[in-house]
Amino acid sequence: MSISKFGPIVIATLGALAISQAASADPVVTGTVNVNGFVTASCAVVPPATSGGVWGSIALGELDDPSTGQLKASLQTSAAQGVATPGSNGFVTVSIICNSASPSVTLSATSLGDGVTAQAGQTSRVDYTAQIDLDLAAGGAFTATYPTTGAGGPQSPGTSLGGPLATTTGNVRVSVHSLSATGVLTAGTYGTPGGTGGVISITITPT
Amino acid sequence: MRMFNSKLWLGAASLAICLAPVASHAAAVAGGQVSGQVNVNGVVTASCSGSIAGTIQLGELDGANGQLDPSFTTNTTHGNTVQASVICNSNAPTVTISATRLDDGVTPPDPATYTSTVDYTARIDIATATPGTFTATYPTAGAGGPQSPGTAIGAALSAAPNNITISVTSLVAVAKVLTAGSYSGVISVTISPS
Repeated sequence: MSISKFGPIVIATLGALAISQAASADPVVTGTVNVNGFVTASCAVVPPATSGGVWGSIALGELDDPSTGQLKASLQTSAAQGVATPGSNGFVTVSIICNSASPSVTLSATSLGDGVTAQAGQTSRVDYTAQIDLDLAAGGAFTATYPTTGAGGPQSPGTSLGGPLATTTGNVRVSVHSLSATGVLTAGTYGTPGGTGGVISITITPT
Repeated sequence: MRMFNSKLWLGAASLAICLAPVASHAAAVAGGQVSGQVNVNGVVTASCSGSIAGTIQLGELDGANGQLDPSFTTNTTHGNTVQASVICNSNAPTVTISATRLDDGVTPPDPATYTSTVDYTARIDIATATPGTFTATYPTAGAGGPQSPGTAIGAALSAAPNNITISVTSLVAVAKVLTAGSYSGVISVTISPS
């Protein structure tokens, strides 16, 4: 009976010794400090776009064929039309950086108008196809188009680029082509500023 | 009855043990002076104690071009610092510092033009009793030893609170776009008494 009463005391003493030995065996201070930061998913024009977020302009010049009064045949081809600023050969060129693996693009556009009421046989509207080409890191380019004549979605063929953007300068180009109109074009200034429409809207998002 | 006898026996034994020293003492006194000494000793184990822990938050890492914000590349402190109080009882404590680079765990979509890691220099400043400051750094970009410039602090630690400061400097810019995500790294520090 007496031994069993002292048993717990002996065990407790041994436990204290064990703790003491562990403390003396590890007399160093070891610690860790976590370092963190973040990169927000984003897309940005580099350098930043001009005020109002306007990337540039495409000047198509004289739209009508003087001999017919109708839209020039040369503007109706699928080649990029007009003089682009900034850029060249009909392409407004900008540099866009996205830090995501697969950004997406939304493209829409409004037809050109001059605000004049057209008489019979005339038209105050010129449609076109807006196009955006985005260079991909893997090579090649993703192309989306938006014909102002048609209804449908805000862009074609889709939103996801399917891969990361190239990080090269001038990796995004915007152009117009395939203009169309029915009838004699009324005299006036088409598109903004001065007329109506003629605005290509683009949104590029990181996801 | 048996229990009573047992207690009685224990009492007798205790008495015998007590009487023996008394008898010895009486004999010594009778023989003259008694000289003796008592040694008293103790030990202080060489050790360092304290706690080092915390988080350094750098915030948004990328700049306008999607690459590392150039302001992070200076050799000044970026983000907050972490302070700690460590007590060492030796005159020649040592420090070891190492760190892992910042990583967001994202596979770069195009490794040639995108990156998911950021290197930096981890730094520890130790206030010494001299007084002075011992500084050790560890660039995550480089190979080499676990710390720089060395392990020996060369002086006793200051006993003042917050005698340890850990910071991050000199993030390394590369001409690549940082992938979006949460970046994290770990600085490991060991301070030992020798």
